[in-house]
Amino acid sequence: MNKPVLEIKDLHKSFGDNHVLNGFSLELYEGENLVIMGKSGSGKSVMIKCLVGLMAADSGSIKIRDFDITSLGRKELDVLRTEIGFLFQGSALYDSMTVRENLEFPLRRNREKITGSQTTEELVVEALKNVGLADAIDLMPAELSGGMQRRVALARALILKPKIILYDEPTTGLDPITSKEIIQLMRTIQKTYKTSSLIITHDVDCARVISNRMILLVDGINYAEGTFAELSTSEDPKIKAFFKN
Amino acid sequence: MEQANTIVSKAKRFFEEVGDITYFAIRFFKEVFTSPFEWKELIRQCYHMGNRSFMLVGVTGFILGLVFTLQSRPTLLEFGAASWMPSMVSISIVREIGPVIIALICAGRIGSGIGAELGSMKVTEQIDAMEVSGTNPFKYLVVTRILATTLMLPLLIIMGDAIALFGSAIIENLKGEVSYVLYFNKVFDALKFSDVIPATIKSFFFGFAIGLIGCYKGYHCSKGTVGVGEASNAAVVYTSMLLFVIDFIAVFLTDIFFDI
Repeated sequence: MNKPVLEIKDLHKSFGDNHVLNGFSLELYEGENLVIMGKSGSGKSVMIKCLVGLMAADSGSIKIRDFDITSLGRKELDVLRTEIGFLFQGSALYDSMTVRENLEFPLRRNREKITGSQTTEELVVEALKNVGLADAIDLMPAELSGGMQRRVALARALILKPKIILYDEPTTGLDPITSKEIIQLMRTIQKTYKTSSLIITHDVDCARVISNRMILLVDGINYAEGTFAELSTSEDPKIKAFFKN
Repeated sequence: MEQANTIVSKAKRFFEEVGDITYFAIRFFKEVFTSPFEWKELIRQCYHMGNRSFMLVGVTGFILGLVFTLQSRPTLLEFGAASWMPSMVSISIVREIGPVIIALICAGRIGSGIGAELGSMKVTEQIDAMEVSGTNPFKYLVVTRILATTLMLPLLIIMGDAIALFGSAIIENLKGEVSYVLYFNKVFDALKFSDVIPATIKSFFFGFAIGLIGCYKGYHCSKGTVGVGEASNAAVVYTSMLLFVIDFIAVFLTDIFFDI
């Protein structure tokens, strides 16, 4: 098996007496789509925020391409973050900027990371074309529908051509048809950009279509691990509860 | 006993918040002198804060000058001291009323705007998105806004003072038949550097306070949309109180260091 591009070992995080993560571990391999499922409040979002240094873990190690992010300084962490694309649950587009400015923003400080002769304009247009929204370049986020906002957010996450993409609830708040379109887009993007993806979701359809492997996060630990087919046919009541319609 | 506990916990919260704001200010001074510098965003913020507050400050200053002169005139006439009007109005406006009123207006206009904008960015994860894209959001959002308010408020106050004096001159011209040239000659005769310099220095601190509290409240906003409203409201309340404290300290120091 390949070397993991992302590795979490024995991650602990508490908020006062509330122990959210109690030794969570995972390994994400190159080209893999790993889905993390868990109930609301089970610590999925906390885990993903620890992963990019938005939150400090209490203990444990987080390695991204051999760098332990818990021991990196601000500058090194910023460099490493350019290797990671992050799709936020609510899209998190900068609402005072146009779509173009939203996509240009990550390039301001990291333009040198993109090799080749493409101009900023060409990079923005290419990213928007890849999510099917080239015409929306001069619109404001408020003028876009929820699905379009998610696509623009995805284009922004991809603009630096990251090796790893983190999806935090990519289909939450979208209607079933738009959800399917976003899931399809995620698959296309993985093929185009050859990324490894960590997807946090409680959307069973999303997990079924996109996952190569799944981890169920229960009480802050990896409760179960396997493919969608293995987990969805499990007799364990806790696992069954995730796949009930 | 319960009341005592409530007072103690409120006092504790107050001092914790003062500590947090102090830490926030220290972080500002650490980050303001280190590269990369966000010049473009700083100029954009200066333009937004100056340009968007221009009308409000102008109208406020004009009405302030008009009303102040109208209200003071009968009393001065009673004492036969109507000729002192330009001196009295100019010293009052330049030293105290202009800076304080305009700073309070800007606390409402700019401080609440910053609190609401950053608060909204915080709860919709835009600040987190900025962080993961390799940009330091404190530098981009906070440092630029605090610098912009610190630089723009003195300019707005100078402009507001000038418009207030113009408003006062109109009343004197209409009611007392004092020519504009004579009025402004008397104004400039009355004003000394010891009136203008402390007021200008004070206005830099007012601007800093408006930016600092607005950014602090917005940047630490939580509890969703309710929190955004609270951040915006608290930014105005805290800033207004802080402005009076700064004003008191400024007047006290001016009294010591300048011959007024």
